[in-house]
Amino acid sequence: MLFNSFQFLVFFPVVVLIYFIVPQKIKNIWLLIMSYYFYMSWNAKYALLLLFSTVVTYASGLLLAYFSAKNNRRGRQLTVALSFFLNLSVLFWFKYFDFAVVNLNRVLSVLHIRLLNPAFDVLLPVGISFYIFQALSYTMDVYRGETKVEKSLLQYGLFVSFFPQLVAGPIERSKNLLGQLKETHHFEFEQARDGLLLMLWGYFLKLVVADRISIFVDAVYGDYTTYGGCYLIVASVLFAFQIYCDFAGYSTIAVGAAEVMGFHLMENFDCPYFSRSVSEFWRRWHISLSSWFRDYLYIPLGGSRRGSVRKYINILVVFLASGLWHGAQWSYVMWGGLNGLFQIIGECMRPIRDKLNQIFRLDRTSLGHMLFGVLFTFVLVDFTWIFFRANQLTDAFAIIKSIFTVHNPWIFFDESLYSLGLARREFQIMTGSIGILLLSDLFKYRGIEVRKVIIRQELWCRWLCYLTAVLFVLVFGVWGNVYNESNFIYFQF
Amino acid sequence: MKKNIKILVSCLVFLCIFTAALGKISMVVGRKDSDFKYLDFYEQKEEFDVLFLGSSHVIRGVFPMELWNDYGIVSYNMSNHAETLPETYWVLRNALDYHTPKLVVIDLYKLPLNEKISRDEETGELFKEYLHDYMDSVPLSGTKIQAVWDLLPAKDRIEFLFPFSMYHDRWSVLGQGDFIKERSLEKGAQAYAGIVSAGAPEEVHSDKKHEEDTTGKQYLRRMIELCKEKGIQVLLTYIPYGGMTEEDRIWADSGYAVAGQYGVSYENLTEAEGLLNYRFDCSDSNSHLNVSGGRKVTEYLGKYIRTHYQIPDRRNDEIYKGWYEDYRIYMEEKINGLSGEDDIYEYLLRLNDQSMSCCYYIRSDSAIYEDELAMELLNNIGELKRLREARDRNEPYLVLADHYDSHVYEFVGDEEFKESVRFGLFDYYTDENGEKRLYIEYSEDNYLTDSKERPSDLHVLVFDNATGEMVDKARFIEQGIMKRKEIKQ
Repeated sequence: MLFNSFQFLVFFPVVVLIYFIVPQKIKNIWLLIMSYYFYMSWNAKYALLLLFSTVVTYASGLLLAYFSAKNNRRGRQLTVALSFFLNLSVLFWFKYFDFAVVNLNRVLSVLHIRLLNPAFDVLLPVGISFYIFQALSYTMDVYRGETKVEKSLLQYGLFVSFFPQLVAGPIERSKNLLGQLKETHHFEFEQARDGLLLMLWGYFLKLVVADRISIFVDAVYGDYTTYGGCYLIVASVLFAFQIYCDFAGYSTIAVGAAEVMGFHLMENFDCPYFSRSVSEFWRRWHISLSSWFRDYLYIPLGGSRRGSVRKYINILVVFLASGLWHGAQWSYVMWGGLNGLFQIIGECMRPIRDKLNQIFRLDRTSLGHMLFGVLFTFVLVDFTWIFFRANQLTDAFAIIKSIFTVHNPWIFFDESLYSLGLARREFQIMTGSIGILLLSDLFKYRGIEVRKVIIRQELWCRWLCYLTAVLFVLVFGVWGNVYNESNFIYFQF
Repeated sequence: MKKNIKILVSCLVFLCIFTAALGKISMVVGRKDSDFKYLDFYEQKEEFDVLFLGSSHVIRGVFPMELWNDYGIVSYNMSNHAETLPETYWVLRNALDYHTPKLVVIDLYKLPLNEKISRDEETGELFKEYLHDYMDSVPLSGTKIQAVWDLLPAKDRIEFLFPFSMYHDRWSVLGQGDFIKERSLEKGAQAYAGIVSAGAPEEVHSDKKHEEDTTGKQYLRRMIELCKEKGIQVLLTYIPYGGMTEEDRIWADSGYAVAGQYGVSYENLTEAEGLLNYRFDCSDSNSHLNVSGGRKVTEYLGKYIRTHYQIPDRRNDEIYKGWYEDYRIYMEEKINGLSGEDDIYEYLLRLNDQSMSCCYYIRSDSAIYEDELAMELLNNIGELKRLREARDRNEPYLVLADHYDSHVYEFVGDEEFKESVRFGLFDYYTDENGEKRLYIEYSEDNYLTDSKERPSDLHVLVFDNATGEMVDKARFIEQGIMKRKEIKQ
């Protein structure tokens, strides 16, 4: 069940309504049942994986508490290792097995050996990377003593399966969410309104911006040999906004949906394209995942405490792992690797940059300097997105080659851009919507939340804003069955 | 508590404003074709006495406005392109929520089909777009929900119950027509003037019978039972089309069994000898009837209904006076269609119209005499007894087909004609220079005036029977192809 499906439009109000009607002690049972229903609407069998991960990490918490009481350090370490092993094995089996087998065979083929049959063709369980990481964070937090062990399987089960953030994050931490699950939640108008406004913004990002851009990007990337050069530049720039709006849109809907019920989830995106360095970008992009890798991989590896070289290696390891987390393909690994590499280069160049700034007396706070930093970072990040979007690594290299070798700047001046799924008016709406997004992010960057500004207005003005926003999303969003004028024209004989 | 009530009221008011705004936007972005076809049906408060149901063969074959003009029958053509009998069942169910007709006429073209919705033969895709042509205008109701549930798979239901979910995408193609409410002048029919020469229905030689049950037959039974339950009479029809195969005809014959089972009448028009001329009464590659073929079928059904059913003549009924105005506008459109027609064949096709009378003049040596299709179409306006004689003698020919008085006047060679008819005093003669002259009601202009260089092959004058006025005049000259020329007088 996707957030932008009709089922969710029925599911969500029903869940919320009953959640606030039933007595406190039943509320979490209701949410747990509905969360599993939400997950099972994709594939009922895979709920067993969710249950497995829940039970394993729940048991790891109890074991950690037991070994702590016995002061058994080795037992605690073994428990963490076992929890990680079991959970990551499930993830590996469903997400990386084929990838591993194909690559192993590729290596072994040099020796004319073919050991394994790569015919394991299963559907990737939705959200498996998200909920396994969330569950593992609990094991680690209990191990570190940062969170108390949860004795109620019901509360813990809901923590792992809480439907708003179950399939696409944010990857919540037990110290933030588990405590909230124990609180009493009553319906509060202001809270529900804020949540709904967040959801509305999320739908705008997803339906109006991301899904419209995807029409163009899919057309160009799907046939990059025909649409080379400037087409690919436009598509790659647009893809940067597509992936942002797609992901941030879904996360914002999740945060909003939780907010309606009185739960506060962590913010997942914070104006990432206003970053002035790649490392800043990663502090603003997919924050829940970045901080997960920071807390549970980068820091255990030694972080920056063991010298520069080790720090750079740690960064590279984290970003290669992050790439692999996004998908079992070399193009994702490359994408992660490049992001790590850019950060390492940035770190290495820091003294030179500082020196240059000193020599040329550059003002780092000037608009020009900031703008240059933002644009330069955007170019670097967008370059890595090519690897993320391309179907495979070889395609990504061919696309980069085409960008630099195919000369067709005239497409900006004739009607060519309007022949790739988005007619002129649709292109205008798309660029206008990106403008709204950037404006909103700019306000947020400067500490102004548009949502809160609207809420402070007089009733007629507030309502006008709400109404316009909802209707804008409904009319200009890409949703429902696709309307194709030519189908109807064809039949008008 | 007081605060909660205030919030609740605010939310309700907001929801009402939102619903109203969304409703308005839905109307603007929605496709208008369905409203255009069915708006009159939903808006008319007075009862329709007859409803015609079926597929595109009915849309192209039955013209309610002609039935009104000729018989005073108040009817609506509810049929839709590619409509199956299950769809027809729901069209009927929904129609009966709004009107209670005295007679329902159901066409059996889709009797063999075992699917609830037609599919594209090449792609296998459902013809959802055709269903939209009907369903979009149907107001949301229990019947509509049942229909959608019965006819469509789950993934397609929302776009029919909530068409905005699909049509919101039309914002990028909105035009003037999306902001103006227009309605069909043909009460659901769609006359088409194209000409395709199609083969006559094949003869049935085998003893084969289609007695097997089909989805079509099941829903046909449901329709008949529904009508019987509500005291509505049923007439089953099979409207013919060009190129009917023997198999098609056997299926058409299978309608007798169902009709017999329920004791309802079945008019299998494929058996009506000489009803249609398949040389020119079909309009497209699917052999749908064109305006000429449709008028013949309409005339046939009008006579049949008048003879066999107690359907009142509403022409003198005060509450139906609005139909006169509708007919006037309909007639204007017909005349506009005629005036704008440049193709001689389609022009002559449109003249097979009992509401108009026409006068043709063909000069000697006219290329028309060499054109067999044009000759047949000329003959189509009525039984012209002397046209062939004029051709054989290669002499001038004048005919006045007076459909007002049901009289045909024909003149060959130097024959003269001076008589007062519905349209004025006709004065047709040959002057001292041997030129043909036609004056009507002492007009100063000779209606047969031609350019000296290139005389016309065919002159046509068209009169509106109702008003007696001349509504169009045309002349055609053969220049490689027969072209219509402006008449300057």
